[in-house]
Amino acid sequence: MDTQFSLQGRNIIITGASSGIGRSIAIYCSKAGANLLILGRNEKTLKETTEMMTPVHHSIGIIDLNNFNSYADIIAPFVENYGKISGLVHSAGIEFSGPYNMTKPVNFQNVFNINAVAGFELARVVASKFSDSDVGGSFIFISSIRALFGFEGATAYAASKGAVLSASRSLALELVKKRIRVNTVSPSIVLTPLVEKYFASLPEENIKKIKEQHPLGFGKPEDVANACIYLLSDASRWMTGNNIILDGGYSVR
Amino acid sequence: MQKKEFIEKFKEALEITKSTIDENTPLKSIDGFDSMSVMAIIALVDELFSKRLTAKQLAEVSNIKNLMELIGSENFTS
Repeated sequence: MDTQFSLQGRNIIITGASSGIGRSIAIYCSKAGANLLILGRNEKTLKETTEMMTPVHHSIGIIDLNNFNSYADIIAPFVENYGKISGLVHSAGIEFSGPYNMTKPVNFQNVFNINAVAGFELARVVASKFSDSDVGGSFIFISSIRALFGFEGATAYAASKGAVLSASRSLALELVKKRIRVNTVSPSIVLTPLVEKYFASLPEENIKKIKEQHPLGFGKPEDVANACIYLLSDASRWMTGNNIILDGGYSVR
Repeated sequence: MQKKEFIEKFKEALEITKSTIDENTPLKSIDGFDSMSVMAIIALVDELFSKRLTAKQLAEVSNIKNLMELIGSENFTS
């Protein structure tokens, strides 16, 4: 694909590539020509992702994102094979739904560790060890519409996604000198296994009401993947420290 | 876990302070019972028993006695 949106020859890391949005980003990045290191907990589901990808250069890395000290060792072999990293998408995420009186420090810590801290640490490791300022790069953190609009039962999740949103602005300023751009994508409801789990905790009438709040209906993982292709490619070369909202019209009203 | 202890934790989760309830109290008769209460019960059961119930399952539950049956009677003592 010889356009501004091409990722031909770019070395990109994607977390949460075992399912949902991360998987879709991996598939679409492979179609755009990228060399990919896809990360996830489960080897079997990561392999399933590679079967859906365009058969270019890609590696899988089994990772427990709570094990922050393991990141560099998992990334290093990919860099030895393909060269420095020019793209990172932190799509791995977990959710916690519960009223605030049931939301305890451990619930905040769990969602913050995966949704926010893991992404920040990956960015630190990649920027300091595996990037090249001659090549530059683009980092993307998947935030959420919950970072911008309140929703009952989502305090911990919203806080973790808000952390992603605000940290990316400061990080964007620091990484300019390495020619790395940092942006976020904030989707509303995208039909993924994570959302299915969330919906399972809601009565049917609530789900219907949420659907009515989305004039274009719920999103598909590829809707987020397409935005990521834009942010990873040269087409977005003038964009950093910013956020793309993808919400099917949720925030229009 | 003792049934009595579970009922106390249930009251705490749903922030029931003014009324008395027992295992036969219909859930829908609890003052302020709503979708957040359903979410609270799911979070409580997950925390105490590492069991993830769904809103659909809870829609079939009429009182705490039924809820304890759904969680599994083997988890409770009188």
